[in-house]
Amino acid sequence: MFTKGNLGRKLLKRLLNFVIVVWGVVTLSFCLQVFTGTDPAEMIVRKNNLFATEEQIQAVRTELGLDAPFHERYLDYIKGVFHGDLGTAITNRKPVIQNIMEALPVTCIIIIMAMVWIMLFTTLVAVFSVIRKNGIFDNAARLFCIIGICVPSFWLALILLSVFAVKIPVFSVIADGSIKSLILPSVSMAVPVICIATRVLRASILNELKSDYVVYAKARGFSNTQIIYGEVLRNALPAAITLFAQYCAALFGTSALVENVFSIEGLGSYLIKSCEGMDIYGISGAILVCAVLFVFFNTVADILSAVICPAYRGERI
Amino acid sequence: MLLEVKELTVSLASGKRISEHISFQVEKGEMLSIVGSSGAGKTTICMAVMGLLGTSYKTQGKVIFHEKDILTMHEKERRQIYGKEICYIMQNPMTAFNPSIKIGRQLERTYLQHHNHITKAEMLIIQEKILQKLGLEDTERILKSYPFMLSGGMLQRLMIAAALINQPQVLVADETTTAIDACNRMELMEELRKLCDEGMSILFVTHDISLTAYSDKILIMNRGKVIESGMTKNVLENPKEEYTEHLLYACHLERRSF
Amino acid sequence: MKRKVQITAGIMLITFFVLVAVCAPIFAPHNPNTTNLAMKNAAPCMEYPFGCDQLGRCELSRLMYGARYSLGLSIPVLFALAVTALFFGCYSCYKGGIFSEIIRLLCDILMAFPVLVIAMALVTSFDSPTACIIIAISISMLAWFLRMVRSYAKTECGKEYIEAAQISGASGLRIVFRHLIPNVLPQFVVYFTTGIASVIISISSFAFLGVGLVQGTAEWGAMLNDARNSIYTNPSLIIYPGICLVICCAGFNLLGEGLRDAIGKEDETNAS
Repeated sequence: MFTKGNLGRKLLKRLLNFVIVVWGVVTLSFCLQVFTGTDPAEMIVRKNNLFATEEQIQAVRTELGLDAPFHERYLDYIKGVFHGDLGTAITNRKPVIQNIMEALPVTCIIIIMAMVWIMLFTTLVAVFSVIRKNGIFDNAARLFCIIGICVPSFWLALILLSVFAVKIPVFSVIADGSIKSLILPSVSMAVPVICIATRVLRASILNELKSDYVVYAKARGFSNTQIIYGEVLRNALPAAITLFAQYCAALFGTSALVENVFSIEGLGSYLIKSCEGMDIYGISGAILVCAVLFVFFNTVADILSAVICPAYRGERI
Repeated sequence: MLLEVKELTVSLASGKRISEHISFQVEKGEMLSIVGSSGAGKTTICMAVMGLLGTSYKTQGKVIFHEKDILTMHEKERRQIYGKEICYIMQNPMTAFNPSIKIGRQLERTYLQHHNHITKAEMLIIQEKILQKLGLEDTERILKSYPFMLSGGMLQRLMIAAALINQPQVLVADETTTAIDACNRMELMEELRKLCDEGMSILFVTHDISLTAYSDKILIMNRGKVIESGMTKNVLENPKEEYTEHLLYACHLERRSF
Repeated sequence: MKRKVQITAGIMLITFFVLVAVCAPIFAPHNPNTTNLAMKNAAPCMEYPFGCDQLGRCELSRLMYGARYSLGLSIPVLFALAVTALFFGCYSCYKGGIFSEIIRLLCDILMAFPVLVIAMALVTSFDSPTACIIIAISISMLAWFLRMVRSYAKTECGKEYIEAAQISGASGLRIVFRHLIPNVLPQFVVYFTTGIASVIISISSFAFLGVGLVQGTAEWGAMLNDARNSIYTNPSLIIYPGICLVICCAGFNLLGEGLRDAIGKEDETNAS
């Protein structure tokens, strides 16, 4: 039964899960950086002066606190996280949190736009496919989806860039922060997800159409369109939403590639820059944000599924 | 004559016949029982009358309602009849309702599908009246519940409520009592009889011949064919066919009396 | 699409690419790394069937060797991961308890991790760039495989034949090997084939960013990266590697879809 006590317990469990996962991710990323064997101090010094002496490197090391024992650095970092301080970036000496806050908005906008494309097109195409099942639209959509899943986002981004920005100058080549300039990046990220989500939703709807309640609805005089929108969709969506959430989380990874193609200074680009510069704090900070958003999306998806479809008692596996 | 089924033959795409040459008539205020064991083709008749058989079935014959053949009607016209003039009660109440929509809302939609928009307060009055008529107290809780929160017997009554809310002329009840226990079963039959006496026609399908005592006419089916038909009293007291006697005998073992 | 058509098409495409990958050293018209600036951006001709790239290297040979890299990395690694995931996933799901919870949390954590970061972070620790790719992919795909196996295993564990086996006194390991794994396997094989497709794309993504291979190696993603500067001069360079990627992945995805139809599981994308 959907009692209040049950709901509270479920929420607590989710919250606990969230905290553990985020902690695990942060710890893992921190360990990863420390054990990679590169010395960030060395990299910084050698950037300016190729023949740096060991003393100079050591001085930088002490300055950055890199020579403290591992557990001290780790605890310091965790303490900092709680206070919203993600350390100072090694690459540009600014607080990591500031770097991230500068880079995050653009990425968020792209991802939100991508999500809008995905939700809109998936629902429309899947429903229309089902209503006109085995018609021209249905077959064309299915073919498109089968191929679309295999298309890498970055290749699509390149193609779109060369066609729409170079050959036919509709969009600008360089992103200037406006919504129009973010259309191409968001579309290239959205297309593979649309394809796979449409297939899942279509199959889910067709599966639901075999249910008894659909027969009963027909017997009460509802039309096919009314049945699909009014009754079936809410039962069919959870399957697609779960998938959608997983892919959304992965979107933060693909955003790095797309941002690279379109030269956008977003979270993904920051992550790559930090990786190249072996910036421990930058990497950990960016990963922390990515992980938080990932778990957040999955949790939201779970809650959304339960709200749309109260019969959905999805257990986390 | 309200509803007439003429030479209804249903076959699969492969050609196999599920029911052959079924014909019967239902007058206003009459209950017609269709009896037979499992696989006799009873549910298929119900589905055919309700126009619910998919494209994998081939339907021949006529289903005449108010002098018009429903099976040849346009989709739009049919949708105005089903759910309003002819209502269906399904076999399994647990799966018939949409598990994700509250019962009250489902009843509301059934009503609004065939009537103009009314206020929430008016809707509530109609719903409560129907539920109370079927002997359900605690209407507020029921209307706010999801189907999985309610018992089978309750859901069966709610299906009848959904069928009655549009005040139909014909009720098609498919094995309505199968999912309910014996006590509720008797109450349900009494209620159906009451509805009949008030002027509703009921097509009642069952495999339990003892329940046919409430009906006016009876149709005995076996393996897709009509074995015997007529007024219930006559058929049950003077069965002409062997199969009918067999059914009655099997029933007598449960020690029922008519 | 009919089931047989999908499976046949999938197998044909996969076989084609595997053959290309294996036989590249024999059948490639030229050495993929030999530059010839005189032939820079040459159009397709008899000697160079697909033309040349911006450094005068034979495009066709590079494409063929690209298959070698992608398939050669993804298939063996994923196969090993699949075997591991199958066993640990089924066993942990069956045993339940703390062991299962730990595995579940581990999967959640690893899945929240951007794979790219792992790869890039490891670049400096290992001499061989391919090693970091392998490790990065292993970490990420292991988490996904485990999660899928566990979700299948969970459904199977709820069925009665497992209970029957327990009652008849079979040991945990025996149940896992004789009952659980054989029933999880068909569904997992479907996921496995689509997993290969996604790993191929991941490897190309890394190569696109310059991670995981020596500069200049013939790999589809890397070729796309090189082609970025040639958008104006030789746009066809963007098309060829991408098409190879799409068709290669399509082969695996088609096979996966066909198998899904064959085993009759209608949960994901089968719809007749």
